[in-house]
Amino acid sequence: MHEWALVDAVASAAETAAEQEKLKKVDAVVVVLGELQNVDRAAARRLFAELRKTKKKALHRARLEIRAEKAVFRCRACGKTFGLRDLNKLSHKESEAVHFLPEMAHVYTECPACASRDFEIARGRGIYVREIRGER
Amino acid sequence: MTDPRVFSIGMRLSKVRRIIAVTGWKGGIGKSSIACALALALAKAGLKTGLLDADFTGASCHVILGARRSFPKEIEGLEPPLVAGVKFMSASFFSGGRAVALRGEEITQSLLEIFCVTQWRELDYLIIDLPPGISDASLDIIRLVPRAEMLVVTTPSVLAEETLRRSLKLFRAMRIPVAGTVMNMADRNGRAVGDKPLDRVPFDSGYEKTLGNPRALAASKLFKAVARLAAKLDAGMVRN
Ligand SMILES: Nc1ncnc2c1ncn2[C@@H]1O[C@H](COP(=O)(O)OP(=O)(O)OP(=O)(O)O)[C@@H](O)[C@H]1O
Ligand SMILES: [Mg+2]
Ligand SMILES: [Zn+2]
Repeated sequence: MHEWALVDAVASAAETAAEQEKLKKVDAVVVVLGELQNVDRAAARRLFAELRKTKKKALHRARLEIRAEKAVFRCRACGKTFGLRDLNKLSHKESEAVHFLPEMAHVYTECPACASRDFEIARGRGIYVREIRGER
Repeated sequence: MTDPRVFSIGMRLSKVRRIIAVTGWKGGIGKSSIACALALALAKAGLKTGLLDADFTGASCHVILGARRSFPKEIEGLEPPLVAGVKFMSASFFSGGRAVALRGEEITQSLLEIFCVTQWRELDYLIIDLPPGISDASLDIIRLVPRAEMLVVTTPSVLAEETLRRSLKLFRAMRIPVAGTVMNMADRNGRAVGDKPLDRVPFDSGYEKTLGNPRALAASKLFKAVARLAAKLDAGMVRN
């Protein structure tokens, strides 16, 4: 599964952060999942429960908290702001490609106002760590 | 806010012995051709080899290798398909033959994503094909994969040599390892250039016909010269 690599990266990032912050025990790792990449929440939680065991002890009982973030695009040509719903519907193959590599949105979609491909993914691209909570 | 992907690059590349980034500050001088032939030659020599096309907007390796039919498998990330014995990864798998218009920041994001999810596993060599010049993708490789050794391609032209000199100077100043320099499309008199001239690759009028067919490529004049170069590289003759 492709999510494996992303969740593994999250666990490693949390492990490093815990070391830097001198946390003895990490309670929660709060991640933001961008709508565009469409990572399966249940799968991410399951994978994290497995992968935390492969990291340092501080992480072994950590919980993965997931926050969703809607995708927001901003056209660099005309300034229009739009979301995933405003885009022409992607085929299964196309949304799979965007799932693997969110920048492929530039390949399969365009600004609904002016048809430019030169837009910015302002929010909701992929996965990032917002917060790590734990005890020193 | 932490980008978790940067924490995984070291892990994903931990079993890769050597990383060679094929660069050159002029367009169309044969970087992709040499990168593909080099990967193919190393694989043929029995070395576990991977090839990453890091030129997202101008991807070419899939055309040179005829990789149109393969696709990565989802195993703990993405497992690059074997193309002519080489583990191959490219954004062309995802762009479905369409134009890929990306700006710098988007190129950085794409590169990070690909490094995070690609499972190269154990490799003797990872060859990276870079876009021309010293910009987004090249600077990112230097930043994210500092042990990547530059293989600098040039051609017998004053213009190419001038940029070559500048590039070598910058690499030295930034302490970036340089594997060597290659003169492509060299004629018989083409001089060796740079402080670590590896070899010359002749102009091969038959090369165009081999595009898309790795077997034909392996029988070409271009390939023979690159295979010699691969042997020298692997013998560590030019290792820093
Ligand atoms: N040794 C050679 N003999 C004959 N033709 C060659 C040789 N090397 C490259 N070519 C041809 O030159 C052209 C450019 O090659 P290639 O795409 O490999 O260059 P590049 O440096 O990767 O280009 P770019 O800067 O766009 O990435 C192609 O048409 C290729 O077939
Ligand atoms: Mg090229
Ligand atoms: Zn627009």
